[in-house]
Amino acid sequence: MDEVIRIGIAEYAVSRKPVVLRTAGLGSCVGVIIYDQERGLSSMAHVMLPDSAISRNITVEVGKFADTAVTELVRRLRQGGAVRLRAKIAGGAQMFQFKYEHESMRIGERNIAAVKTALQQAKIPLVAEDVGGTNGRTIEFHSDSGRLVIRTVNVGTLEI
Amino acid sequence: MLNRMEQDVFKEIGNIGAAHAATALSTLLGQPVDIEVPSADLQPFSTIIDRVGGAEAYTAGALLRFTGDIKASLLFLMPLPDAEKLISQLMHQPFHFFSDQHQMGVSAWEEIGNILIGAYARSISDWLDLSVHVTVPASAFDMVGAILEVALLESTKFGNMAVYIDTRLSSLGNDLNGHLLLLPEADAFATVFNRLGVDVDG
Repeated sequence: MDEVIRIGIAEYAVSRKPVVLRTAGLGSCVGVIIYDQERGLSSMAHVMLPDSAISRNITVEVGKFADTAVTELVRRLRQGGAVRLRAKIAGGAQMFQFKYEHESMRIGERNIAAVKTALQQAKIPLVAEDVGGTNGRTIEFHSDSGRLVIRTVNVGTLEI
Repeated sequence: MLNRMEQDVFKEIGNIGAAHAATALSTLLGQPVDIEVPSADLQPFSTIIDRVGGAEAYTAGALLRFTGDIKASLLFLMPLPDAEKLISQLMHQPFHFFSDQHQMGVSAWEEIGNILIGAYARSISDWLDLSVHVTVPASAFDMVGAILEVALLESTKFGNMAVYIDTRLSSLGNDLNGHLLLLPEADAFATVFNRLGVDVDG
């Protein structure tokens, strides 16, 4: 059994050995996996918000925002010798259905769009996704096989 | 996180809210309900997630928004099995989420959430002398980490913290755990603490 690395909200991890990258309870956040399977490099970020420009903090938490997270994962992977990067994403649900529209209620959709844009800009093919809907997700990426296992409370387990 | 005086204020807000909520819930259920508030404090989300049972704990959530003098959200959380017990009492029959009766249970939960959170909201507005309006509640039944992300977005500018009011409900021999989070939006924390005579920057 490969080591399991747990990634909390707004955190990220990069690994050069076979691992299971795991993040629990993704709601409107998006789990981004970028990997080079041939070279055994993998990474995951638990992205909370679309754009680092809204941050008031001087030191940006890199894993928190779609743009900074994707940039940092790619940089670290390439530094480690990655050549052929691919991506998988999951999350971006709308957990509460309000009767009226509130900007922050649509954050899931905005996170998904921002992650996809960042991946496109970095020219990384998105090979699989399970996004949107109204369910929370716990995800596990198995770096040796490239499988992403997605567990939900009431729609079962899915593998992409 | 908060000093003793501030903790006492939020505990008192919690106690008064609990008393209102207990009366209203007793009426709704037709059975006596007691609510206690063991603690109230400003807590980081990581602590709150632990207290609620970890990011993957199955949880019922009801979310209500304030507008008016302050913008804030109140989120009430209860472990799914506890929420099922409470709804079973209300429906006079065993209830489980994600069954045929799911939708009925959702309505019941939103009604319970409305009463509970409404009572706390009144207590907060009375204590802090704030004029607030509350929205109808929205609900979610999922992993608590996923539910809490909504809350995180609101409070992310305040160091990922919320006012956490622990609550214990007991009714007909059932002891149920509830967790109430007060999540002021952006600058609303300053308004709240100004009303308490606390200098947030000091």
